[in-house]
Amino acid sequence: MRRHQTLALAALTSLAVVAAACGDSEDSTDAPTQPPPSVEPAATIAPVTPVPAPEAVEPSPAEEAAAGIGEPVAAPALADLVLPDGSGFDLAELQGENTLVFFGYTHCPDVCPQTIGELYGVFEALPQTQAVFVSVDPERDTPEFLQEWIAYKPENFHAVTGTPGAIRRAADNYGVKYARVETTSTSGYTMSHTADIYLIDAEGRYLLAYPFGTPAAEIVEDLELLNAS
Amino acid sequence: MSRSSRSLLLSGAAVVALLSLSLSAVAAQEAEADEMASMEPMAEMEPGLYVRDAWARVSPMVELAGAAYMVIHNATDADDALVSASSPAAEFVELHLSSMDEEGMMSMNQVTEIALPAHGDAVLKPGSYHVMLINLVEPLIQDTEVELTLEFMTAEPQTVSVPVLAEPPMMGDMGDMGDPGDMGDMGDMGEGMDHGMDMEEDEEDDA
Repeated sequence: MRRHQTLALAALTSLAVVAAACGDSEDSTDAPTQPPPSVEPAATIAPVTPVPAPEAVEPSPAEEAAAGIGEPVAAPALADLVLPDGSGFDLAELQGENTLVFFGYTHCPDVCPQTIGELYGVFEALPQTQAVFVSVDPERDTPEFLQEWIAYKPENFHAVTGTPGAIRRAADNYGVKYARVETTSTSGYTMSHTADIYLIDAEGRYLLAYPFGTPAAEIVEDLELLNAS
Repeated sequence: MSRSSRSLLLSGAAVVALLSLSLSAVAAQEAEADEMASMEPMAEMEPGLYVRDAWARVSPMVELAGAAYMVIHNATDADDALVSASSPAAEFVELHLSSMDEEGMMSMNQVTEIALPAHGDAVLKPGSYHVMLINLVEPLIQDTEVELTLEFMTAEPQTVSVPVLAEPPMMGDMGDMGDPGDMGDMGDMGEGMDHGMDMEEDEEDDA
């Protein structure tokens, strides 16, 4: 349409209609059932003008995402963060495999476990896939605590934390928003946070974001297309 | 005592506790439940609250809260509400709502009730309403069960036995329903729920 795409990426786009709501354009028009845009990758992508949805299949947000997918950019760094053993984390070390990055916190009883559940679904189909959990709750998610937590996770599931400043910088790089919220609950404070999953391909390029609730099967389809391309 | 929720679980579906069964035979109940699950409430459905598709997510660390989900159908002519819950599996049980705010952030708030509109459903699911299990007595292990007592604004409390699963069940595969709470003597179940799994049986026998 507006932009030439490779076959695989065009197909990827069609599979990622939902993810498109998290596309890059400020002026995207959201379909009613989709969450608001929450992702602003570090790289700049030319704004595109919304166009009427073609037929009934793809809403215009998919077109927005297509524009983004057409120009993959180097994944924003996750700098100055540490693994549970205290060693520095280097996202580049995961190159060679598709990597899914998400931000959350371990004391999150509902949203984050659901996201992790979908990641497990991806692992089941594509065990090589890597996942990175970036804590937005450094107060409770110390390396020591993550060490215990990660013991219940598969080896390709990585968890990182860091200083509040380092976490904020990493989050900003991915367009992730988060905030501490005091609550009435006996479980203590919560962290509000955007809950997208970011897809980074084997070459370390940021491709797209899946909004909260994207089924594992959709991500698997995309990854299989990527692997085949 | 002769029929427990476990025997129903053996039928392959993860089934909520059928605590106050009024039918005499488990087999008949199962067949009827399967049938009811796929239909809108009908005239022959006894008025009451029906809990179905209940599950709790595995939670290997007791210091992290667990979450339980279900669908509650209000087959009565009056609005009701889920107002609290308790469980021997956790020190505190709270009702919470996860939702996305205007900035796209998922946030979680404690709620005082979850509405059960007349002839409607309350859907507790990931990213939305859920029952939070705080200060777990022990880890929530896959394929075990936790007992959960639900208290309502109007209806009598119901205790359900909730299967612990690693991921959401496929809805529709486990559509069996418990009977309405008002069909059994469950009136005292809401108090002091710090007992073991046998309480539902004992209570039922007392009835």
